[in-house]
Amino acid sequence: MKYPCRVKKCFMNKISVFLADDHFILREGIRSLLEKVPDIEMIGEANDGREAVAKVEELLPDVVLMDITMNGMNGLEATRIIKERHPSIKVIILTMHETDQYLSEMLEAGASGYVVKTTSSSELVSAIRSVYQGDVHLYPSIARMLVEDYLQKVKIGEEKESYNGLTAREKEILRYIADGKQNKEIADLLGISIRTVQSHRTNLMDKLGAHDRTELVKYAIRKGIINL
Amino acid sequence: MDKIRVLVADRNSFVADGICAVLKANETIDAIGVVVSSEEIAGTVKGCTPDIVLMDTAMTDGDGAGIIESIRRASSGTRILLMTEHEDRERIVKGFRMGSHGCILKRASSEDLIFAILAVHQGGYFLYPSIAKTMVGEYMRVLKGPNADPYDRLTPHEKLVLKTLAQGHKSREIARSLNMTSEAVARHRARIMLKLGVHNQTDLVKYALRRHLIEL
Repeated sequence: MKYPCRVKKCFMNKISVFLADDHFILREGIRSLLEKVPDIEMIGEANDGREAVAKVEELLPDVVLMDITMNGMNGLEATRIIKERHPSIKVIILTMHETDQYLSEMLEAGASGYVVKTTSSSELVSAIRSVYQGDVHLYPSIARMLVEDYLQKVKIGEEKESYNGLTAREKEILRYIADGKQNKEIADLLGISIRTVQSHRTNLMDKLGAHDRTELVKYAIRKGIINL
Repeated sequence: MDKIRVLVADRNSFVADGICAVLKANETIDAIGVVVSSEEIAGTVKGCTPDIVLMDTAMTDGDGAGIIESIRRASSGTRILLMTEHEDRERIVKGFRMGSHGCILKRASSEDLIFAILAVHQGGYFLYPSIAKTMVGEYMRVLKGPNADPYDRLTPHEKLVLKTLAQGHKSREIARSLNMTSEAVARHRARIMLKLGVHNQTDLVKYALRRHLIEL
């Protein structure tokens, strides 16, 4: 898949790029690729994280391309240090895999881009230009991870909020329902009428957005209200 | 290879026609039609099951609020790429929450649009760079917010140790398999429990079950 190269209108300032990766051949390949791009200039390379941190300190590039797994200091640690010292330097993570367990850590460390090593050269160039302008570039499979993880976390957060919106009585009844108790049993246990249990139950489902008992039970398991 | 069949949905019919012309110029994409009103979309999608619906976010306003869900109900395999004029955070986030697979700005280049369609068609998500920035901001907000999940505070290594602990392996075995000392495993275990707020092995296993790190 070819990523469009936007033609820069102004070549006044070249984007200076630094590359940290412990594979010689990959460095060679990226260097020869970027040499052909008029608005980008490769200004240095490193073989591991420690060397990257030291050289970046000296060269102050606009953009750092950072491998994740390197011997000695890894890409995450190096990204953290570089971003702490120089928040304006942009870091693009180079990863081997289409999914990445370090995504949230890397973003937290301050990375502004994620590119898979198998990507097209035009996408890499486009990523460099985007992050240089202050935007974020995420390879499609990584973008998918981010959105899915985001939506899941939002859902968990909302459930937590909706649970806090329940009354003490409703929480009690939720626990009984999740335990498999029938309305009649719950009414007897709490000394209230079945009708009251039913109306609590309707309110509960409303507040939690559940449509039936199964959804209430699933909710209770997720929330840790009942243990498996 | 079959062409990627794209349905274009935009209230401005000449904008939609222009987009179709751009798509038709690409040999891997087939623009199969244009829809200009929100009411017609679900029916059209059901009839022609496009691979991708390329839709202006303006279609999701007001009466069109449930439109993305209705597209997904009409054809579950159809993927949805939104186009937006304004980089409106609310709209972008809402689009993803309702189930869209990407968002591109209307001022993007035709090449960007083609790339986005290919990316979404291949199962990825497309976030135009400025939109990616917005989404990363949103993501960091929920990661650090008051409802943050304590699991996210574990390092990848701690997550790995948690999983093996919950599987019932002894500290010594874990130390060997993860190439660390028993003392380091014990330290990790203590830190994991502190972060998750659990106090014994049973609670740790229950936590791992709830998180589906291990199955019964």
